[in-house]
Amino acid sequence: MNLADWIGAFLGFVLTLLVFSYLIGDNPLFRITLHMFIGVSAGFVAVVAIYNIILPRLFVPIFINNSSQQILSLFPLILAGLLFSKISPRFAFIGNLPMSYLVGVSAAAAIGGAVTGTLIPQVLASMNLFAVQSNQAFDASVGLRLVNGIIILIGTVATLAYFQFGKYSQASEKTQFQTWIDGLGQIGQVFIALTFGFLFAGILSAALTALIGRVLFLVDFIRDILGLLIG
Amino acid sequence: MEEIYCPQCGKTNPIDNKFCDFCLAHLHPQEGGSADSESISVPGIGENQNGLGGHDSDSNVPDWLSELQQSKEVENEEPLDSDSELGKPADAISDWMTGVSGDGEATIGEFSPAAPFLPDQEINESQDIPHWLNDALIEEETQDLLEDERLEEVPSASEEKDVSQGDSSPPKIRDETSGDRENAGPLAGLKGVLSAEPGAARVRKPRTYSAKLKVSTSQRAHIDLLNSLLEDEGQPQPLPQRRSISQQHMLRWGIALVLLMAILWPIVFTNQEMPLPDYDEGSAEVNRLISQLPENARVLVGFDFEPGLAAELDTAAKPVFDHLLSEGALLTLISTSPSGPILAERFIQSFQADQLLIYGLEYVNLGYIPGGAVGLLSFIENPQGTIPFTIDGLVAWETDERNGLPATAGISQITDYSMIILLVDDPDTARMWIEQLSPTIINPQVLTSLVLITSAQLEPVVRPYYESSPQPVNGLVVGLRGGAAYARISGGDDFPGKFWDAFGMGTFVAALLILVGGLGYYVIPELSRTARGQEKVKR
Repeated sequence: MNLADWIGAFLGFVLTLLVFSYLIGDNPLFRITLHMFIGVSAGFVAVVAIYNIILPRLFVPIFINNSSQQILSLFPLILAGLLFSKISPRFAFIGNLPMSYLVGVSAAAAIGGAVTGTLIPQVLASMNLFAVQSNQAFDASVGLRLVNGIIILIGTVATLAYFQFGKYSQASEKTQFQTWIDGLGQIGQVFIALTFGFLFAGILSAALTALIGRVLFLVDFIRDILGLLIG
Repeated sequence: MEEIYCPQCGKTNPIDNKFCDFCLAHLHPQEGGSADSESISVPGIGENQNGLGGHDSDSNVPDWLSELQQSKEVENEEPLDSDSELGKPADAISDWMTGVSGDGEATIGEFSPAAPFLPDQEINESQDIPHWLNDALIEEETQDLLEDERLEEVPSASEEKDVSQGDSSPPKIRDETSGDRENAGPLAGLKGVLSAEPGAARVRKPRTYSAKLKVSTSQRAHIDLLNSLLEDEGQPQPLPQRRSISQQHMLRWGIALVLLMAILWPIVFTNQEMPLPDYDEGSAEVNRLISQLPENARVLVGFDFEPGLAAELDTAAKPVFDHLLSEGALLTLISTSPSGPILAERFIQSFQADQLLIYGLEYVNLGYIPGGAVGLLSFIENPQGTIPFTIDGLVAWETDERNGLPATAGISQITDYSMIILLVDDPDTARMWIEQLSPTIINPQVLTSLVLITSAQLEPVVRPYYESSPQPVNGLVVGLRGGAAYARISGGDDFPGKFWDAFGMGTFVAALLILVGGLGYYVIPELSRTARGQEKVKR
């Protein structure tokens, strides 16, 4: 390792220990590390935005392209300039034009992607589990697929039943429909609990891996220091 | 020329006028007045009326009044000392006074102040009115004035209530059918009209209200309470005494110590005790896809994770990229996160010790795509127009006019890539990539495959995309376990065994802690409840 690597490793070692000091409670050392992280992140994002976006994509095209492209390149510059009017409440309305453009395009992309990329494909996939050809032999794989489809169907319907946003009638006795919905909701609760358990296991696994990564780094750094000192 | 004062406006008029030239009020009392006014029997006034009006009323005058008139004429001819005359009130008025009901106050109350009077004969009440009557009139007028002033200065109880309670109820409408009959002025004889008495036109001092806010007792109590709260707010409050080491601290330190020991033990003292997982379907599918890549295949790699989970994703992705680079794939690195490009560069640098990767020739870093889903959609539809330069400012793409970088040669659209690999730790980012890419790559004619290397916490979100049909995600490596499975499948021996050992031990201890904690949560209260029940039984 060269000197820069040693300095970087030493800073990483110290900062890791400062973050671990949260174990004894919230303290100034942990706070300092937190503020450093936020400051460094903000500075890095600003540098990336200036050198990776603003300069090469906003200003450079104005000077290197032909005249028609230069005129087209002015539009994003003007719209970006209008956004600065949001600073003043008096002239904030001027910034509504670029804001409406941003929000509209973003919403269209997000909704379009959700419908064509998630909603319709997932509904179709759930339906395809029950698509058994008439001339298809009923073997174990088909049976397993049907069982899988039934479980998914029950889980979906039961979970939706649990999140029903209806209102019970004022009568003291439940109707038959309400009794059915309550029963389905109980089953849906089981599916929700399983989902949360799955999510928790994943988060625990990810956090544990991050912890191991940091502990491994500390141990390796100490070994390197000891190896350097002992020779 | 003799003049007469108008009882209404107080201006002078010729005495012959019947009505005032200024306000058209009656200057003389009407003959057909009220019965009350007829019953007035003040001698002085009656004498003036006779003199002024010139009415011949001798036939109607009673005897006692005739005698009084005669005596008055004598007085006019021989002015007498009024004091001596008024000094004997009982003798002078005893007769006519007896004709009155005997109620002095009632008679005085019925006296019409609107009666005209001559300016030449200015009323000297001390001369024309008996002492006792003069005193009574003065006293009554004084009382009226005092009463008016008191009413002006002090609002009534109802007014005070209105002010304090902010009552906006409309004022009561005066019943005009009731009230006293007007006995003077042009409206004389009518009931329920505004009084034409000179007193009504008197200029009064404007009503004054106190500038102080009138508050009730309960409002005062609330004000005091608010003031005390505000005063207490500014006072420094002593911090509650914190126990230096609480039970919660002990529990937290105990769990941390157990976990750290479980992780440190395999790292420090052992080496590759736990076997790698045998098989993982998603990892095996990724291995198959990479093995089928053509030589010098172009692969787009998205680095969309935060530095906090770099350890997990770097470790999981390393066996995959070892295999990928061994197949001679050319990489294009990109990210929708600002920190992604530097993480990508760091990741690629970790391979430089084993395998030299030349920038521009074997890999290129396009940097950061701004705009989230919109920017990503733009890149998918037009990569060259969206990101024309690399992160170093070099021209990234090959065009007719100029040569690009070898790593991106032959790429004009997203489907020219043989594979798209996405390293991601956030469910929203993963879904954004899949949703924007799937309409393009779910096409039988498109040979581009999408592979995800994700954090373990994303598995519930991304697995449905992998297991559905049609399949937008063709391969899936999930967390450390997926990476370890891939290393075993690909036969690589460079997977960090200590990492896997520590992960296995740590997971086991964490599960044990959860189990013990859950049991303790239910068992300890039950045991204490049972012990209390037994104590009660013993007692």
